[in-house]
Amino acid sequence: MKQEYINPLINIAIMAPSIYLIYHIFPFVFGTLNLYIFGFIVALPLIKFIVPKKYDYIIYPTATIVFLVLLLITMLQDAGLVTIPRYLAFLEISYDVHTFASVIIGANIILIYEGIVANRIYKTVGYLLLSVGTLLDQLAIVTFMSLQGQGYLYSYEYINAEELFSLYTLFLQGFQKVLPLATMNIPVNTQILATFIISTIGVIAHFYFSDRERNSEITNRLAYPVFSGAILGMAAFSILRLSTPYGYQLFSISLSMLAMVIALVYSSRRSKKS
Amino acid sequence: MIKKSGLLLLAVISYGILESIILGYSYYVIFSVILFFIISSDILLFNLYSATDLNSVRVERRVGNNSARKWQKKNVEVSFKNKSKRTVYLHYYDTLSDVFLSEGDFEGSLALKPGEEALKKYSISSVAIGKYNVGPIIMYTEDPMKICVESVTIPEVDEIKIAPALADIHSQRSERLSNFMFTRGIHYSRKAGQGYNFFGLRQYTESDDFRYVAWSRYGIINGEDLYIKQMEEERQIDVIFLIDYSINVNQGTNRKRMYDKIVSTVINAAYTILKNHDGVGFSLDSTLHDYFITPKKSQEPIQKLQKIISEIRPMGQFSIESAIEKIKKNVKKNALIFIISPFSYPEGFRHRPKGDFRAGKQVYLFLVDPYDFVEKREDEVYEKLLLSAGTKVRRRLVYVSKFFNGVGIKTSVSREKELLVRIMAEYSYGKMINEGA
Repeated sequence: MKQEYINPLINIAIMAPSIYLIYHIFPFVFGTLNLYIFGFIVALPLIKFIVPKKYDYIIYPTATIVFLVLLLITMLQDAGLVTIPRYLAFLEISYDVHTFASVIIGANIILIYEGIVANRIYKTVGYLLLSVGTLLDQLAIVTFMSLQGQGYLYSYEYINAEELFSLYTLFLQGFQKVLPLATMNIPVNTQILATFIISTIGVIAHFYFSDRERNSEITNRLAYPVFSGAILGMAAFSILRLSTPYGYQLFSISLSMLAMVIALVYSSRRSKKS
Repeated sequence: MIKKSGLLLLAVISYGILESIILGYSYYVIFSVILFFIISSDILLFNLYSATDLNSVRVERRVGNNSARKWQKKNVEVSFKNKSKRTVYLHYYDTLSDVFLSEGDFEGSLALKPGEEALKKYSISSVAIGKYNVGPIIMYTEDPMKICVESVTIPEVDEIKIAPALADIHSQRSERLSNFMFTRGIHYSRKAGQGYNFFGLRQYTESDDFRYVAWSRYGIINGEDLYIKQMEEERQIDVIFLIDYSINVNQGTNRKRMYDKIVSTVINAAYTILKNHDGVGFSLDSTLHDYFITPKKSQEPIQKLQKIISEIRPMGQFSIESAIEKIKKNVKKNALIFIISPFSYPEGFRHRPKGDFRAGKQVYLFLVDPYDFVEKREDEVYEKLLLSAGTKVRRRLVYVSKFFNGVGIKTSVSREKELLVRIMAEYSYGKMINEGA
């Protein structure tokens, strides 16, 4: 199979958690979306694809600026500072939960698309991590919706309030008090775990397929870092779990990462000296 | 050394770990933590083993004789020996000057087991004359994830001296020489008659001047016969080629360089002149090169020239005034001076009085048109632009030639293929008007 076909397939595997999460969340939030805004955002990759190559990099920044300017104008009108003529009223953007849900879901779809078409591994992983964060947040909201039988707006406010409080306690007291995702019984946990495993395999497969002439060499050499990395990662995670009851989870993981970074710096110097 | 992509990957995963802890979703935490440690383990193992082991590889290059002719294939062998206790995966390439055409394993990948030795062979052939470097050899290794790289430069450099190709200096073959000699009829450079040196005797005829009768031979056969002394006058002349060997002539494409063509043309002309019993000498001139090869009626100056040009490359600036000064200083005898230059960067040139260009010798200037040394492409726009630029350059050269013709230096603008013909035509003309010493 040609490299140009393999890369998107591997990227789809890497982006699997985000793809699954959007698939799971979308039916719950669909009723909340402002379809005009959502449609416009989702159409941006298509616009980017259509415009000449030398202009495609300005599509997302331009869309962001246009959106923010329209939002600002709407806010200024609501404050009575400007008056929008009647024939331009369609440009007003209401700053409510519908708009923000549309922006969040739309932006995540763009991140997933960009992650699939990206040609660099760090870009794909970056898009994955950017999208997974907000989508897990949305997962907490929709789980709360189905568990409590509440609407999207209420669940959104509730979960965000809990998360903000948790963040506040983390930085001011050193531990997190309320973690919606940690405390809730999420029904799709197994599926999400499976997608994370697929994503990890996707990252490893990317390195394997990056140079097909050296496949056998890479197979021989890749086993060591994957094996040792998995052991070290599990050890770090175990320490994290052990320290969680004492509220030291951030401290313990930071310590593990710092130890690894020091090892990298030291070994790098050693290799230079030799 | 971690590549930018490796650092970015670590940065985004670190962000993921922080985000996962803030969200508190354990599967996300496991995923990001394991990913972080897999990537960093790869870097750590690379630093500890692959990067360190690369320094244990011993490399040796064998070139053999360091001189060759243009287009002549020269075999190069590079051996790699792994002195470490682990298998070393590496890529290598031998740095070659752009004049070399290479065939074989001058670059590639190797997986060397402990103590294993690998021999890689390749051949190089030069497209231009001069002295060029082979090396240094650069080895580099990457981790399997390609996020780190370590390179080692083996500073071993071999210098290869490239002399003109035999095919380029074909005129040394006598059958080629005869064409010129017999069609132009200048192979005989002495004039028999009343001159300086005794040539021989011939029988007296009524129209002969009585003053040249050889009285000592009077009546030697039948007692009445008279003989006339014949004298000869030396009409042989030295030809000195003054070649602009400045940066001006270092132009051309990968396959064709101006200095190369000029030198081979000059050598061809020199062989022809030599066979015509005239001496040839050379001068390579620029602010950084000052070589003068005294004219002789042997192949020695040509061989000296070949030796010199295989050891140098065109450098520095060329000034026609200083070239003429050099002629005045070095050339004392009567000689034909052929100056060959493209006159490409004449920024320093100013119009001067006629006397400044007077060398006291017959000086001929050949301006080489650079049009033939520009890369040609099958592109209509490019072709038109090239033609326009070429016409402009040609016009400037014609203007320069008019100026030099005006100050007493016979000048012509030559395309690549005309150069030899023009040199020989001027040589022929110079011989005709030569009045002897």
